[in-house]
Amino acid sequence: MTAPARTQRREVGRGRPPGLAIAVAMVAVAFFAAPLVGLALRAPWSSIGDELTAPATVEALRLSLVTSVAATVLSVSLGVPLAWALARWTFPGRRLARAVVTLPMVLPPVVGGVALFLAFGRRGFIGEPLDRWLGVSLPFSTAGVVVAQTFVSMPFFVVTVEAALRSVDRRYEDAAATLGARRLTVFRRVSLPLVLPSIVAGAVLSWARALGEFGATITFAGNFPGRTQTMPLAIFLAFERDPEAAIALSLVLVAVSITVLVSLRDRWLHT
Amino acid sequence: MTVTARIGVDLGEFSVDDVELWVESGTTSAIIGPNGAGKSTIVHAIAGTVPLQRGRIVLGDRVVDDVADAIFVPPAYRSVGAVMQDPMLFPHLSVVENVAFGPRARGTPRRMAREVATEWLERLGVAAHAHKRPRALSGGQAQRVALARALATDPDVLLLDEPLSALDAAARPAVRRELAQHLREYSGTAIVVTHDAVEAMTLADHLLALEDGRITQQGTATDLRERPRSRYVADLVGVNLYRGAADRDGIVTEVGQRIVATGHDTRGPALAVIHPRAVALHREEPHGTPRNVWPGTVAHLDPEGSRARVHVDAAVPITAEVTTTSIASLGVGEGAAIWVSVKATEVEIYPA
Repeated sequence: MTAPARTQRREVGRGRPPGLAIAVAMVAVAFFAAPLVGLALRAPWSSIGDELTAPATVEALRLSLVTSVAATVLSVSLGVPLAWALARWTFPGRRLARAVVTLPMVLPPVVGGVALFLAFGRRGFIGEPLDRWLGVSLPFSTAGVVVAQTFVSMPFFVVTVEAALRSVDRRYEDAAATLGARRLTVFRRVSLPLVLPSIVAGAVLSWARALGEFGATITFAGNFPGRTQTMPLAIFLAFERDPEAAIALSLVLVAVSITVLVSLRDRWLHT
Repeated sequence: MTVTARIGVDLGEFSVDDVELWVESGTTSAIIGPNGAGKSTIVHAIAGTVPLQRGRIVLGDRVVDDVADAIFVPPAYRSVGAVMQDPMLFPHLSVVENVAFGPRARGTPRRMAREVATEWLERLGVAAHAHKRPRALSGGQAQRVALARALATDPDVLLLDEPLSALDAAARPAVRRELAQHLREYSGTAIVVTHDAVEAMTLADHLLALEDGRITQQGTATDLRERPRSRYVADLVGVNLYRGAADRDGIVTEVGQRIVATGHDTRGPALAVIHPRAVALHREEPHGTPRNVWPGTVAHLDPEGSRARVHVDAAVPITAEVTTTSIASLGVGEGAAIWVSVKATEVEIYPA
């Protein structure tokens, strides 16, 4: 009886990090958990219903959902061809193009907002002709919010889908081609379905990023209730005037994020 | 549709150096060669999934790839069907949708494409699996579906790249027989690539031996068996082959050993073939009619059913095929001393 037990213990211990590393790891987990606990402890559970149905809150939530979904639709429709080109098309400057596309992932969002303003603002080199010829003005508009969110969130989508397209077994595409499918048909009916899990994962990641966007939005689109004041902006402002409202709003975003993460992990992210 | 090709592709270890190929319309040819000889590269070049770097491919009277004239017809426009080593069925489509893919891509309406697909699945005996996903199929079923998918586009040229190699040994003979049957019914031109002699000879009318990126011999299975032109082909068909200079009395091999033969007109550079069944083994030095008698040692024994192939190290290295009974009565094992004899009339000499 003892011999198997010993074997089992050795199996359990195999590859396990030493105690010190585990202790540090637990501190790290606590570091991530603490803020959530803080939110839960201070949440105005009794009045949370009223907080969340206040007209300003409903407005910010609606705006956040509309803009983040619009930004995701934009990211997917622009991002799929972009990821395809980056993954499969060898052209001079491809590395530069990839660097430019992924820069917003590391760029401070405020800097992104300033840069967007200089390009698409009323005096920007694109914004000015856009305003003069088409009468379209992006800054301080709901469309501007969508632009800011797309700018910071689309890279997450592109990076995810590009990696997936690179790993598609090209022999499936060869098989489709010999069956008479032209390149667009091969892409639409073979490559795209094969990377569908990554497209969904990329879209959700990018949507979550858009939902939480703050820096670029407030810099480029401003903070107008009902027009450009999304949830993160509303939370930031409420935090000074009405902390309880801020906490309630934060809980909504936490709930949304956890739901997304859990559903993603089960369906698409193989962790 | 006749296939005429000169194929040059540099792909590192899969390079093909200007292989000349001519396959008659309506026949099945097998390209047989050792691994790494560039067989798959030829198939991919004809299918259009690997563009040529040198040379030209003509299907019927249509040039589909010509480097000098800058012509390249993409695979979708070639009327070529392909079944590769792995079936490569689309995992996100059902079996019937896989087979309907080709007709759909070529503009057949959905309903009709499904009817065509179902018909082909029935012909290949896998209609029962029509609504399954490919991952639910066995290797043999998947390869049948892959063949149905290729045939459903009614291609003028059908390419099969090691179609049975992904199957386990038990499933192979049955699928091979069926495949041979379908190839006989198929009216187009078929090219099978394989490293398996049995596969090549059961499936094809015409064989092309590809070694080191070039065709070393082509002909019917009988041609190859009776007059192999290279060591590789001789090994494939299982005969002894010697290269040397022929004179009135036989042939002198490259290492200076004489093999006595009669009834040949060839003089000068020549090849000599000795069938292993024509080689006799003896414990003691034989006396009598055989003109070729050599002492040697048994290098190794390969039993094959009731017969065994005995490889003998002698002045003329030679393989004999004898019954296991006679091995037992000779009482020889590996390393044993032995005498080999071959009648002069059993040596076939022909120009190199």
